Amino acid sequence: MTARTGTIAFVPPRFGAEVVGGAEAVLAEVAAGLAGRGWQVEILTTCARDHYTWANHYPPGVERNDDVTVRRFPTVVDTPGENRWRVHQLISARRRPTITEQQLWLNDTFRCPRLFEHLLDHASDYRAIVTGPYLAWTTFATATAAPDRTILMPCLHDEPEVFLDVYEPMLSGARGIWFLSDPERDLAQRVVPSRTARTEVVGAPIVPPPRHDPDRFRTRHGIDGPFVLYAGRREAGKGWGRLLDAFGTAVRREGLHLHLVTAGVGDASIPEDLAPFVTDLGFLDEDDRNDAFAAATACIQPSALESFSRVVMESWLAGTTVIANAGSAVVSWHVERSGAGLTYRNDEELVECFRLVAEKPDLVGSLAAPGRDYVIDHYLPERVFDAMEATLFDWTTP
Amino acid sequence: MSRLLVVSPYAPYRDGIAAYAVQEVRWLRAAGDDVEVLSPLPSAAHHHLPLGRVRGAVALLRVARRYDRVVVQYHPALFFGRSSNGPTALLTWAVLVLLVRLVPVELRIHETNFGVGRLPHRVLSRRFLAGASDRTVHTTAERTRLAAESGLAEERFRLIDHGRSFRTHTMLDRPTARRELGIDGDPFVFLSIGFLQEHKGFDRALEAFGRSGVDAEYHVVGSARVDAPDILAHVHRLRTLCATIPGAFLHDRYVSDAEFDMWIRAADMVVLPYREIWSSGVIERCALAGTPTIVRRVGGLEDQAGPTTRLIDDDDELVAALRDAAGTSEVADMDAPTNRTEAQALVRERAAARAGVEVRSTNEAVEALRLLPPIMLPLPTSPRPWVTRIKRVIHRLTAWQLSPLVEQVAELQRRTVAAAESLDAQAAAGSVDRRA
Repeated sequence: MTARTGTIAFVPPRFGAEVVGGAEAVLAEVAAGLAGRGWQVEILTTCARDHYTWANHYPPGVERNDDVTVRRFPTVVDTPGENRWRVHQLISARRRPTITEQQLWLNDTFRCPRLFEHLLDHASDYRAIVTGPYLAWTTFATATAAPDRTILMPCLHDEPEVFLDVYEPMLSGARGIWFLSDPERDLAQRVVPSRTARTEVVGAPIVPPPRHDPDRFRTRHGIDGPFVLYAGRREAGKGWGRLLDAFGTAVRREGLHLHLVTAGVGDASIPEDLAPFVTDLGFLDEDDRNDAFAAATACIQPSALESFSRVVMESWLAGTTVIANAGSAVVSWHVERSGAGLTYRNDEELVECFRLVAEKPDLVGSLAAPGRDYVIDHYLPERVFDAMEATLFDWTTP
Repeated sequence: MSRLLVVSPYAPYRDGIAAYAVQEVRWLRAAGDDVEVLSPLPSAAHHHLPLGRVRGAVALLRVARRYDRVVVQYHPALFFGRSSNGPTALLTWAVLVLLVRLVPVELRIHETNFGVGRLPHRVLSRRFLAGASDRTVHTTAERTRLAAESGLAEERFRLIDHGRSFRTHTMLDRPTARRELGIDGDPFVFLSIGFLQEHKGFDRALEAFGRSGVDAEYHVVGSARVDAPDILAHVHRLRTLCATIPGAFLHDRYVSDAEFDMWIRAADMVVLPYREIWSSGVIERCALAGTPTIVRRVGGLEDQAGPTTRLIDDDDELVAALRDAAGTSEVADMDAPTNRTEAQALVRERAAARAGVEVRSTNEAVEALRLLPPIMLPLPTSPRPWVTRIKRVIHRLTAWQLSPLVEQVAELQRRTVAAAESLDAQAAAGSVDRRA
């Protein structure tokens, strides 16, 4: 048995109970899980809560969070964002910026010099430094300061940014990479075909909630009848706008009797004429959110940029079918492997999914049957932590 | 414990001086100093100022007085951008003279422009140098040149070991490093590594390797930092050479620090055939890895040479050094023609190898068009909230007129690129004269 000696540091860009973000949630759960197994764990993170402004919200310094030591460092946001915006236009147009432009783009966002300084001074105190997602400045800085101790959880998406030259040293020079799915690993091999670091597909830990109570949710929010659920950030990048457009088509043009319930952060921007058909619940606590999954006829995952998709797992644990954007290789992979949902390739196919929900809710509901077992077989925390520990023992030394 | 400000390009930018600065900051902090960093661009440094402009240098005066001493990783581009001449440069020199009077300044001199410009520039640059509390260089050649340029005594320039704060980024042994890099079998491996730029001279090393006829592999590893036409042409030339010389390989990649050191560890011999350079971090990294080097006697490289360095002066010596390193006795120069037929064949072969470069140069026109950034209205933002508000008002007042124009120009740009690409494709297929 290899000893759990040495300290594992985790570097998420944000950390805290009020922080919303998939990668941040995964890193926090893994940190807590490994601490629960007897590892010394530290969180090195910023003072930010909001990923739009990156303003300092939490005080800098050291605090204790259950079994984990949290060190917070202030963010600096002092650039106008012109370089980021200009180079983003190039990236979006699938043009290749020069390395110098890429570096300007990378640094024209929040930065955290005190965190970098801490890593310069103390990287050798840590057995491993786990960091992600790949787009965060903190991740790039960690991989620059201490590549030989960095384990990336990059949460890669198939988007133009991932192919930038600046990420190649990060993906090839880290001590190792934990991927959340096979398609994410395949993408990394496309990005750095010649040489990636040691890798392992470990998945993300999903804890089944003790109970789901759909009736409590319906009573609390006054919702009757079948509905589809979107739970997540209401942002263009997450596919919210297109989901709303397709739902509008289903209701206005096709006259479907359907209700859309949404929960999460961000401005939902619901058109006036759709307001009677859409309920925005804003941010829900965990229990209420789990109940919402159980109450829904189907859960929609419209994002094409997913590296794991917790909402899909949460939906299946609640016994609810997933309707997902086939543009996400990862979510399609989950749906194909589990058989617990439908995918759509365009807006018209999504409208037809909505029709099926409206006209055959029992059929749609029955599709979820294999989903719960799929999550339990692959993503119970014990399984995921076993895989992570195996790599820690193999790749690192105290 | 003293409070130190290091002025330098800094991580996560990746270039030689930024890497040097990170390693020195780590070293200084470990020695107990309270170190902060100021960089010319936003980075992991604690502060950033536009040092390439006079106002940036003036702002440096305000920041610097808060520290006990300032360490400047000096190279002309840090303060002067592209030009060390003219009235702006003169003002910058004046501000830098004030800086060394205000606070003790240590200069780590990587490149120099002290003897450049008109008399007032030279006078002020000398005062700046003389006023610094410490001036360090890495080689005696640099010291001699600086003394000549500045008029200061050589003793006023202190020699420090270039690699004193360097740490290796890989612990792999040679066989493992080779396995990781996909080098099969057990060939003798030559390596040149770094940003692909003409002054590095990797092309002449490849040509020498081709002439040497040694049974070995020659790997060139690096990437172009900017897409300037001359650099693109140089990379294409390297690619062409590697395609025509057996055993030569170009790895046109932006590699990590770990992979950089892994290549050095994997190589039997690292070749630094530089046309010009002041000093080299690569030599120091080779010394850390214990990998011998072949180094052209240029700049201060001779001073950096260790016991396993072979110094050369020209391409013939390079060919001999490659043969000696690989244990190959002198062989007939494969390129040397002995009669007209061979000479004609050689001319044609070389011309054919260059033909690719010529085709590329035509494509560069398309490439240049493609690389033009799209025209767009500037973002109405600023770190200062009141400026952002003013910019937004201006944006709202003018956008109705400017936006259609911008869209029209952007469309024109897109269609021009598409037309040029189409024309080029037809030319490549032979259906259109490229001159059209």
